[in-house]
Amino acid sequence: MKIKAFTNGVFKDNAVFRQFLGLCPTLAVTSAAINGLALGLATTAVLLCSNMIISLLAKYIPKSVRIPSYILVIASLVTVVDLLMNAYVHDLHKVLGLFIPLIVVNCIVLGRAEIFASKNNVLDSMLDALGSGLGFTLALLLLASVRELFGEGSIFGVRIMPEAYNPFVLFIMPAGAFITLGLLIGMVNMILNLAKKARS
Amino acid sequence: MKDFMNSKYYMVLSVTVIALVVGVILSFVNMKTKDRIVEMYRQDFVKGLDQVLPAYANDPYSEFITVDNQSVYEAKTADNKTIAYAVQIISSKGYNGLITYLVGISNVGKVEGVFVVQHTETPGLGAKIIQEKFLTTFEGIADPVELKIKKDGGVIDQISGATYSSRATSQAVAEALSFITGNFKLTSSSELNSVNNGDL
Amino acid sequence: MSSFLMKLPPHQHGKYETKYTFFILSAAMLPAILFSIFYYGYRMLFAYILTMGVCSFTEWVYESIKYKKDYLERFLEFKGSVTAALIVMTLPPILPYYVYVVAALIASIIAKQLFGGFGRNVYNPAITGRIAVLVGYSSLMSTFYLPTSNILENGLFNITTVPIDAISMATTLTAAKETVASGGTLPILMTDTWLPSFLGFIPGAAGEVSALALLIGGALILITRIGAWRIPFACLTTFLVLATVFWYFNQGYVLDPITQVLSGGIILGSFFMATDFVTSPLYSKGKIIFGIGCGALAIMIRIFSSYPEGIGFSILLMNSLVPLIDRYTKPRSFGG
Repeated sequence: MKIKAFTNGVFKDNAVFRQFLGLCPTLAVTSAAINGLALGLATTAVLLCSNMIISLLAKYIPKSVRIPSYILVIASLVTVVDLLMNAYVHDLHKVLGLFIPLIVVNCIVLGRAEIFASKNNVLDSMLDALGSGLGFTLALLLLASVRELFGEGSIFGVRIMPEAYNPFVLFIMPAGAFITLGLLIGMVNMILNLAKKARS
Repeated sequence: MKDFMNSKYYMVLSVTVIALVVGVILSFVNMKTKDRIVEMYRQDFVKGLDQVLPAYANDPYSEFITVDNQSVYEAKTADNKTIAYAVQIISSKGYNGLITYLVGISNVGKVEGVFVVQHTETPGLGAKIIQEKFLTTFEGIADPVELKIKKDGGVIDQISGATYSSRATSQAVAEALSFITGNFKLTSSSELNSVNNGDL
Repeated sequence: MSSFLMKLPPHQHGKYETKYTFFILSAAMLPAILFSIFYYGYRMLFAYILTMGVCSFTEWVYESIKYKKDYLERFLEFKGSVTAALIVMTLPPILPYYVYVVAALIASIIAKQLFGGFGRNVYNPAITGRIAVLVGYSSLMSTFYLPTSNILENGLFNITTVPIDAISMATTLTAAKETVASGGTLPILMTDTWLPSFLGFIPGAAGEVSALALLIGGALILITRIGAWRIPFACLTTFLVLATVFWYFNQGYVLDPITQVLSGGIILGSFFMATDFVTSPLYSKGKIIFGIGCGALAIMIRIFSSYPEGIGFSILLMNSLVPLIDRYTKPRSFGG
């Protein structure tokens, strides 16, 4: 069991901040913290199941048809998540509806299947999925919280900023997504560089 | 066995098997969630109807009638007297894409309530049209001339910075009002007043 | 092995050095700045000082962290004060002070320093800051005032509240858009707005109202030849020609060209912002193309979009084309 498979996904190879994967949903849904968290968790669920199934099946899938097979597995998992969310968390599904099917083409899911799950055992693959999923969720949550905080004055709908604060709507608009993501990537890189310097 | 696993037949077989299995799983999940999803959408709509119609004793959602290709939802009392009508209006006059409204008109031709079913207006600005504070200003208005924002000579307080969305809403409500007054025989409010005066 | 020496922009081949340019530019902006203070009261003076302070201070802090030397010299440069003045001039006159701070921070950090600092920014910082608050605080940005008295009449230090002697009023451009949107028609020639628009006694952005004050400054820029005359000339000519064409074919729905050019920020934009030598093309032919683009986009945004004014957006859009324009207009060197 490699605990590194887990921690790498969260920090060193964070999908959003270090690998720039899955940026379309990252930029599009993060206008409120709850949306970011929900899409992160939905992606993690898909990632966990797909990594698990693919690491089990990898041996039996011929190399030449592995990508279509993975896509089949991932697409049906996403559809299952989509249907379940629509039935049981309907209000959230109304907000995220457009982006749930896009998890299919989220490079993180296919990327982890191809890079990790097809070459490792089930347990490690699950750890890897949890790590990458958690990293993605944290990134989305961070980005969405910052945007909601400045753009609406609240986080998870709870007013944080004082009453006098006039929300700067730019943050929850598309342009704000790019600016905030850029600033956050810069900050994360700065922190990681400092940490590296401190260690050596 | 090794030879078989490298043959093209195995390639076809493996993808077929995966497709079959996920197909079965998907149809199972779909079967289990289908009714609930339909029910959720119904509840959504009924929630909207509740907002725009007075208390009713029938089931307006399933008893709708069609006039001019437009579904009209009637609220009836226990003795089968229609007290209000609701119509869905889709406006393209918003700032950013289509806005779907549900507008309730009472049987005396007054606006009973307005509900925004779906919109993609700018968060923090045009999106304020869903606020109760704004939507309640329409209630009780019977004169289509008054159903305009103040800038256009009506009585509706427009949302500051969101003239387009406010104007679209007023126009949609006016459209609903003229549709109902044009297609249904309503008790005019003066008639109603005289009846009341007689009672007194 | 030899190494190439790269000289960083601005590659200015004028008579004067950067500091002198800076001085002339400030002097040219002075008439419009003084007019805005005279017209809207001391509150404007405070807004200018605040914004200049925020811009200079943030840039000083950023550069101090970046270079870790020459602290005092860098501080005395007051970098960003021209940017700051332009921000205040293009915003509505009576705003909560935090709007100026936000615009100043976005201009100096995001638009200037994160792109590599002065001389390397792709987009005009003042316009970037202005557009950011225009989009982010759009409900505040649509409120303009028409003062009914001036500083000579009530010369009190009224820096905290809205002057009482002012009425909230839409600008000529917004009012025209509203009239057309609600089904009305405009007078074919709005002759009665020409003189007040020229002098500046109209509601509008603080430094944009007085065409006269801006033209005095513009003349100074042209006489001292620090800014290329080609950009404002090409920009205003294109703007006027297109405005005339659109007006001629849509009389009653489009403002007449004289009103168009006298209201809004087209004069300020073409003389003071499009000419910013960091974000405009290097060569003569490129400058003319750039000016034509700014003018054409400005009038088209005014007429076809939902925004009443388009000069800021048009300059930003053209800014992003500057590297391309430079590449295709580079003069051939002799023997090349």
